[in-house]
Amino acid sequence: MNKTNELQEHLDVLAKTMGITIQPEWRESVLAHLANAQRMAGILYTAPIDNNSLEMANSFRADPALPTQRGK
Amino acid sequence: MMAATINDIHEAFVENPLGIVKRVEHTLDMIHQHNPAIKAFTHVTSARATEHALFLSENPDLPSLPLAGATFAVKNLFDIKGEVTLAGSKINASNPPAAEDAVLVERLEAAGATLTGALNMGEYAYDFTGENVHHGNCGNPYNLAHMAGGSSSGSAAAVAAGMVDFSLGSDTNGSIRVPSSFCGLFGLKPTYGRLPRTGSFPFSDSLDHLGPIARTTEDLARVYDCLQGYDAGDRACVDRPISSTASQLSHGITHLRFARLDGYFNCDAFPQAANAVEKICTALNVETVISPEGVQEGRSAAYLITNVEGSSLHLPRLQQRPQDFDPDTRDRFLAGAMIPGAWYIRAQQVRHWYQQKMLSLFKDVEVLIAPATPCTAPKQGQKTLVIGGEEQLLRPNLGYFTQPFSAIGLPSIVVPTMDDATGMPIGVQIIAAPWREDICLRVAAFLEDAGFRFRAPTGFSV
Repeated sequence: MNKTNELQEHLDVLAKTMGITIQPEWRESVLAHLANAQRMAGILYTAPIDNNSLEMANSFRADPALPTQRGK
Repeated sequence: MMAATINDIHEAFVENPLGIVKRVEHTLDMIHQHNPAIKAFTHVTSARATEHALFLSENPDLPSLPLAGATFAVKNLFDIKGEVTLAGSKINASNPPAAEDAVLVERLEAAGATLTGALNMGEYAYDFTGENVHHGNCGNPYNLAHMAGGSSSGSAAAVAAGMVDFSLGSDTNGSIRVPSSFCGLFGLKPTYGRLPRTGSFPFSDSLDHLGPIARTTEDLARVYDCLQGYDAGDRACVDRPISSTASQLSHGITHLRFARLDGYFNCDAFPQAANAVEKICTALNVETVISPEGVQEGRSAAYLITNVEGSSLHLPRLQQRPQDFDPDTRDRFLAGAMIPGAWYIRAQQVRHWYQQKMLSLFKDVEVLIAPATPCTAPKQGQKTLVIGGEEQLLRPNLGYFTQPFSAIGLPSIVVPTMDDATGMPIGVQIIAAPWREDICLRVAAFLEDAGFRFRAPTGFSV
């Protein structure tokens, strides 16, 4: 199966799972953006990061500041 | 009348407080005169502005209010009490009005500035063009057939056309800096976590920043100083001392070390951006050139984080009302809802890795110079851009040079230059280490003195 077919299948399955309806006239554009995201993900995996580490930018704090009254 | 700086305005109204009411009336007239063509405002808060001006004119504390007499407006993702926060959308129009002002709006009014309205923007801030199918395409005051840039389109167009003295925008991947570049203005994206986002409609929490846009560095610094301060309503806001920048603008650039960025930031394919960077580097006598590593990876991380977080935020709307989105944003959000979790986690991992690489640059220099946009403002409706002789999609590439800095939250200010061939502005980014907005502003002030100034577009009494 080529990459385009893989993405089309991925879109069909995930749209159903996520409860999203993609109208036929939107499909080509959504697939183009999905292909772009896939290209970006490919670039991410070229970064020489230790395979045994998982240091993420968004780290959790056990002592967050307490929100104010209007805080969300 | 509008050409005055906030300092000039303040001095005039300390002498003559009643003049504030007249000036606000004049500002509202100008907005009504110019807005049908520019489409910068989506709502004008006339009654509130007049009431605030009257209150100020009778306020004995007026001399101590640093922004007294200045007018401003905000991107319509900031809450304005009693108004619906549209965030550029049609869908949000059915939401209830905001119960309170955004914290930054509160702070500006407390400092004496008068709010005149809510500004147009790309839908849900997922945009670099300023085009909006619901509220109209925001025009560029230098040439209304061209884009204002986005997503803070109205925030830049209103300031460039003299409809307000300054504005607030938001910047997730370049949405303050791209329109500032296209509209010839000074725009500041502060460090991530510096300004509280309490009371603003989000896009991508990991990357969302708020910041000011103005015509001079003096105004920008004065406004920025009033915006600072911790607020626990935004859990990303960092509790730091206020950095008083306005008083440091004249400190000059002695002892600062500069580097022009190359590699990813090479402008050979973008002659307008190359000329702009060259002019700035000549004025600053920049000789050091650095080609940083990991930028393409870092930019890709920001792209995926934005796509996934934005789509997650809008998932119920994508499920229930996809037809009510602007088609240009809807299809990207739809794609983002289909992205595997592992890609998002990898993006957060790469963001951290890229941050370490970029921060290491500041061991040897204090200031980085990079283009702001690949080109001057494209024509409205333009879909592609020629890069190195090849036609590529315009929308994602307008943020090509801004995205790598917001990706890791570095402060960046856009300084205007003029493209002589087209007569259209194009900006250059001045970037510093985290929390060093003061350095960005000092360098911008030096460049402004050297001639890199806002130049009023023809036809507007700025």
